[in-house]
Amino acid sequence: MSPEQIGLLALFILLILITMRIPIAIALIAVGLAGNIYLQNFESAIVQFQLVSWEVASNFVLVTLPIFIWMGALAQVSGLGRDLFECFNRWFGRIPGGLAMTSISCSATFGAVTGSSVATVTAMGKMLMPEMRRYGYNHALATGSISAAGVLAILIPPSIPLVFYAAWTETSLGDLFIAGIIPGVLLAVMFSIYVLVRCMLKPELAPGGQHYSLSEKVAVLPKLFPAMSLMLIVLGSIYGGYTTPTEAASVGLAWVFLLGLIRKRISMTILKESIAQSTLLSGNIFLLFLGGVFFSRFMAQTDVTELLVENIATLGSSSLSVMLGLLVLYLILGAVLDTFGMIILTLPFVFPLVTSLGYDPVWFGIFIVMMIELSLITPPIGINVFVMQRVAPEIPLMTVFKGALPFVLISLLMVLLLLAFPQIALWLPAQMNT
Amino acid sequence: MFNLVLTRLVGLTTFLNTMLILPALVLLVLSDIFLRTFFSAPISWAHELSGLLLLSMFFLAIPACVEKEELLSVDLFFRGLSPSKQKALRLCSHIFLLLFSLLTVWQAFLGARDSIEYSDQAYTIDIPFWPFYVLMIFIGLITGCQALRLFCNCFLESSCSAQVDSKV
Repeated sequence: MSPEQIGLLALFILLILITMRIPIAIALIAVGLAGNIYLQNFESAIVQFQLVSWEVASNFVLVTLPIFIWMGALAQVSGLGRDLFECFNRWFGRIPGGLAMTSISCSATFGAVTGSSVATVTAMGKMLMPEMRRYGYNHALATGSISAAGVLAILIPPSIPLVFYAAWTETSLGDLFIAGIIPGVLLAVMFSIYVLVRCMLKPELAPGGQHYSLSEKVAVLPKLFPAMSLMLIVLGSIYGGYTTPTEAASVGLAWVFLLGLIRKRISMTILKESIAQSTLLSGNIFLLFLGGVFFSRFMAQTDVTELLVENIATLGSSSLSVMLGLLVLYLILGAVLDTFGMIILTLPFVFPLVTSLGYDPVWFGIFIVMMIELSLITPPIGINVFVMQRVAPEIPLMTVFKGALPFVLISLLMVLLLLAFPQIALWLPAQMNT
Repeated sequence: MFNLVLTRLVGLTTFLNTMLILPALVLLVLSDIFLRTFFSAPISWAHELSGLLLLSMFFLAIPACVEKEELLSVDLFFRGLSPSKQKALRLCSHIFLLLFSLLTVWQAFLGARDSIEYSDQAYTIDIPFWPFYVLMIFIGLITGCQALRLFCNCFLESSCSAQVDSKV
């Protein structure tokens, strides 16, 4: 068998193992090991695994991962979400659909301090759903807006999938974080405009909430300080070139820890739980990364990636049609795999292809994260929708999916805009680097 | 007894991570920023030590991931299978986990042997590499025991259900 045939066979076996519910990381390692043994010998395969284990586990970029996850967990218990809710609710709650717009603004800001979509949907769902019920919001609009707004958390920095992508592709994490800001804010604005227009046309869907005077609105503004200061510290230090993203994560963590202590929200138990949560998720991501790198090193020996790139080049397809093909591919994969599974299984093939077509790695990082976002709110996996349904168990799952559908379409429109105007993502990092 | 020891060992790895490794990692990065910003005296070995702490943290987290069945897998097709097929696939998954732990132990053993033989250590700080390989061996052994326990539990469970089925 030729190396290319071995590579294709390995891919096929990998897919079978994954559908057999073998953990993705273990399946990647097993197939990578078997392939390395076949192409070289047992000793070389072991040495290769040893090198990859050491290299991946001590990769400095990945230090960012546990620290940001820890920061997000502490931000969640420090009551930052509640403050944001109170503030945005006073400003937007009065207008029709105001609570849904509050959910979008809160999620975008809260996402910027936690980086976790699930944490954002849980926190916002618990605070906003009782209020939305009280004012008689349409169930689909209420749950759809909360679950869809949760996706903003992984686009607006800090974003865990972007850390993973940066470490894998050796792209600047600082550039990626900064590149996510404009698409994230733009998406939040598009979501809000949709809610506003829909509720103006059909006010019974989402009646206006309590009225607050201007002085009451101004009085609540200081509550924005904790979240805004955290955002400023993390993003400002990266954008200003004072710290690396890893260092910014540590400073942000120290700040949120201090805020939690001042507000008496952090106990030893909470601290232990937040660290345990962070190490657990980081360990899981590490194993995936390890498996992915080991497998892709094996694939590099088989030349399958080159074969794929050459074949697509000889097809004479335009780069735009390749990207549209990738868009469809990620939509399909999003129905089967989760965030990190999607990244790890496609990047070894897709990244060389995309860069060979002349696309910027930073731009592609944002593209891939936007595709992941879509998978968070589309069936059958749609993790945000499931989390939302757990928060509001009396609302059928299909209603939540139905409510999220318009936001899926808006996100798709945003991806198309990103394809047509790459500067949406690339302008801000370019400003930072000049 | 076996279960108790294993649970304690997993607890120990979690304890080390939560109380020692991750806080130390954050303190190291913060100290480096502080010394660099205010005293223009960065810690020259901070980068390398961070990598080693991260390596320890990642490996120490693996037993907890296995214990809580947090390893990422695709459930979509699995859910549609009959219980007996699901059990067969679970057994298969535990065998793969066992193989992974053996691989971890073996590669770490080779790494420790070479590190001691060639006195491998960090460039910027006097820390030998072999203790980290020993840690990997320790983690590999714990994960192997966990895989064995999962396999036995799953196997016994299927035997029991088979017995119940035959009685019915």
